[in-house]
Amino acid sequence: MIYFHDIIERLNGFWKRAGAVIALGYDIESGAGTFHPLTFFRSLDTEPWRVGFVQPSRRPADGRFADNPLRMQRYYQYQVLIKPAPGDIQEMYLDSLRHIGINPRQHDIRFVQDDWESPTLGASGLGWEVWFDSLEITQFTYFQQMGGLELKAISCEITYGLERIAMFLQKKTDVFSIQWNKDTTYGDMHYQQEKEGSEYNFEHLNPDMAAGLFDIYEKESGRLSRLGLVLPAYEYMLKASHAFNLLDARGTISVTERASYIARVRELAKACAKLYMEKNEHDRTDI
Amino acid sequence: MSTTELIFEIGTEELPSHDIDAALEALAFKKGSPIENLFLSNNIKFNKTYAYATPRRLILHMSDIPLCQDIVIEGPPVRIAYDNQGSPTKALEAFLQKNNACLRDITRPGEGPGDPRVSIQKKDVPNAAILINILPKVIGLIHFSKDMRWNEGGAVFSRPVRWLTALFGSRILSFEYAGIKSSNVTRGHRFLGHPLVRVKGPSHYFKALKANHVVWDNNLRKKMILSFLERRRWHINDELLSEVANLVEKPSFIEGSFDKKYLQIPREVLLASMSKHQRIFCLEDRKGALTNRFIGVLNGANKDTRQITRNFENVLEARLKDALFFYKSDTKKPLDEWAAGLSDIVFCKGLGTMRDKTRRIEEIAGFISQRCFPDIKKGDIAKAAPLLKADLLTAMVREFPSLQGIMGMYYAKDSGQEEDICLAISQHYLPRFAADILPSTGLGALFSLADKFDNIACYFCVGKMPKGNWDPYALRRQAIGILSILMNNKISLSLSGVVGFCLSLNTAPGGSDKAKELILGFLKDRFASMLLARGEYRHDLIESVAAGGADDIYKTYLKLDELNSIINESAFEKARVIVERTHNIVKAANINLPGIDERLFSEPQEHEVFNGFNEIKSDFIGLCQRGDFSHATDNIVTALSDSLGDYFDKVMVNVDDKRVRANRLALLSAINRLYVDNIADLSLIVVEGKDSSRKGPAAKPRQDK
Repeated sequence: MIYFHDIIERLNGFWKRAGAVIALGYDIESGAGTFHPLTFFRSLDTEPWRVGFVQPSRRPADGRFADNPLRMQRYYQYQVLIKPAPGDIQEMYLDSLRHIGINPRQHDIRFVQDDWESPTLGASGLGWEVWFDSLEITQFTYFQQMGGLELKAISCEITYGLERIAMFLQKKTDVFSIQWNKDTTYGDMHYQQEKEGSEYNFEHLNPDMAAGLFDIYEKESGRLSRLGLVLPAYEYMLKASHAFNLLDARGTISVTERASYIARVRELAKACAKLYMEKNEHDRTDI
Repeated sequence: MSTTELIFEIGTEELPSHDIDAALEALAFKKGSPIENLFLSNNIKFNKTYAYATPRRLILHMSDIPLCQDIVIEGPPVRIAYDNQGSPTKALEAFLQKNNACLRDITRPGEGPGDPRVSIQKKDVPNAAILINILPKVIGLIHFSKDMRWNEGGAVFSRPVRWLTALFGSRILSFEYAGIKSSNVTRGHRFLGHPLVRVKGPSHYFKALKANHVVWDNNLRKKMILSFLERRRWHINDELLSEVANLVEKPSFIEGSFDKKYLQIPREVLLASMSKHQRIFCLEDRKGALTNRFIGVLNGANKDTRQITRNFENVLEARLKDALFFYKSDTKKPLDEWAAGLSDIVFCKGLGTMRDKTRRIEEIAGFISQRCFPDIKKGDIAKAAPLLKADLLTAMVREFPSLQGIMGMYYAKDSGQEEDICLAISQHYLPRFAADILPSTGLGALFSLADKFDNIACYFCVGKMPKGNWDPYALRRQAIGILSILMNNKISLSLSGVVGFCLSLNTAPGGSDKAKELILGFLKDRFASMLLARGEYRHDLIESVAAGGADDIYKTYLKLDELNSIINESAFEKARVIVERTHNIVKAANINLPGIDERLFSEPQEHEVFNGFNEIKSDFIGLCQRGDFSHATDNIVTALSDSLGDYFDKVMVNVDDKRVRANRLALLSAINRLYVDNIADLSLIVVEGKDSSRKGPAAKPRQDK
């Protein structure tokens, strides 16, 4: 059996051989690998760049009290960013699937249109959901815009849904029964977290506190931007974004308020992108 | 002349389904299309063209293209090509050198207007050389709703172009586009075929595709899928069928099932979940109820589909579980509590929230019901109106926006609302598209009218009326919805009355007479184009009826139908002559007319016509009000046709005495207005063999967009 940690190891191995830097996930709650500074900032400039890493991802509204095999409020993405995108990038991706034990000829693999957009990051791209027997296992996107900036060099982002892939490989119908290794299941690691997380997000989160935190983070991010501190400003943007996601899941904000929160996060992200590009014209920012 | 075939394949990463449709449309060689023009303007002759597509390729196949053609290349103007002595200039020499020609190839034009140029004729220029220049332009002429960039070259297309196969007979047409060199190499099915396939020529090309598991003809793929589905009772969904045919290069099938407990989820939710997430088809039983079985279409035949089927089933199970989760969480509170959130959703900038909108709908519905829905209770309107849009806030509608109204209906039922109110919630969105059903209940029809009138009034007020192809709020469709309901439900309603009332509810700028005029014109226009599209009535008859005032759509429709039934009778032709002759002479005079003064009559024919007019006038109007337009037409014809003919023979209208002239015109105008205002402006009727130029653009059939 291919264990959960084997999949990660094999993807690391595959992309390492493809010349990628194998990095680690970011340590601030975020909705996807796209929010990682190694994705967000590195997609802005025209320098060649290849990176792969596991990003723990938070989607409070997707929690289902550990009762749905496909939806969770916290899960793992394997994130790859390649710039410029090679002409055979789809083949490379399919090879990576073969490398983790998926034989595309024995399944129904499809690239189904998906016009991706992240309104909070001011980002958009075109590409596909990759279907494996009718389930989206990967998001495949050619970035066109990031942080509100039209991109000069086009990056290709490949985001694998690790749990879904593991379920197929291990023939499990429930995410929590995935074997992490021989003795430990995904459930052993995360069942309680998922259940309590859902209860907290949907039922016990104090909306006033989250709204208050949003304001604090937003203010701090703006202040740091003005000081020219790109990465600290960006980190507070991430925190604000997560506070908003929590509020959204709790269901206490109206549709108009929701749109205004998204716009506020986007303004922070755009400011960071702009600042990064300005600074980058003089010297490379180390991330 | 010997000819050959062209094969041009644009190999791409997987194209979105609607982009495939757009590309096929662009490659269809419709008359006047940019791609057709490109070939014609380069004098490339051909016999037939075929366009095919799969998710990974667009194919243009053209037959009988001559190998060569004679071409004329224009050079500099004569005055620049030769100096005063008539000797060739440097400019001419440069032109000759560039085209590899010499002086005796030159053709000098004769004297002519403008600035005639010299030219050279080249014989037997190979078309291959011309096609090499054309094909890259073909790619650029295929447009998509959204383009993307993928490399530093800056080329744009729906998805990245990865290979180009270009064959003219067995010859490769070599060119470069977006960093790709064209060649004689195509690719097989992504998983079942060879990755690279070298082809020898057009017929081998199709053989090679077949051998490599590519069904290149999208219509054939659709047929294959349809014939599989038709052997079962499938829930017909043509949109999904077209999409699925565009998602595979070679269809194959699986049949699966799901736990029957999910059949408790509303039917529409099951269908939406299955088609949106997995693009699978649900099967029905004999009575048309959904069963727990489905059909999935795969990309290519696999030997063992058991595991694939199990995987499809597991995914579906999770999706249905999610739908059940939404349904249960949405029904935790009654629908009227959801409605409270409507005041947070902006309907349209400057026009308030959705709560404001439902208040307006309530008022408009009240206004309309007083006039034409006497059986509907005011209490029901007040109860239903606030609930109409409440489902917009629920999780299910946020996940499946197409279920708006339908979820509202189910949730209203769950909250214990009466049947009529539940149905009105879902029916007020009807008709949702061109051939959709209309509301079946009075309350549903009433709210559908009110909502659509409000939409049109609001968007016109803020200047968002449809223009050309721009109609993002689908106001044309909504206008057709209003008109269909009025006609179908036999509702007599004054459009100007309702529109005026709707505008009075809007505080937005522009809620003025001008907006009213625009909206009434827009509705009348839609009415004409809708009837035209039905093809049952002559366009000139529609125009003439619409010109006669169409404030009450239902009555206008009846009038049209009745006139249509007598259009070939002599009374109609005689009435037409009356209207046309009076129209022509009054219009030509173009003066302000006084009231008719009998004392100014001098000819017996004047008295006779005037008496005839007076005798029938009130009868005529009475018949029209009762909707008996054919008798009214008989009536006026009997009274005036002969006497008016006599009048025109004997009486000179345009005499020098201005008072007499104006008086005569006033009488003729009164006759004209009597018919036009009450029935139709028959001067717009086209008579065969007669010049119809004065009818202007209004008589041309218009396309309903």
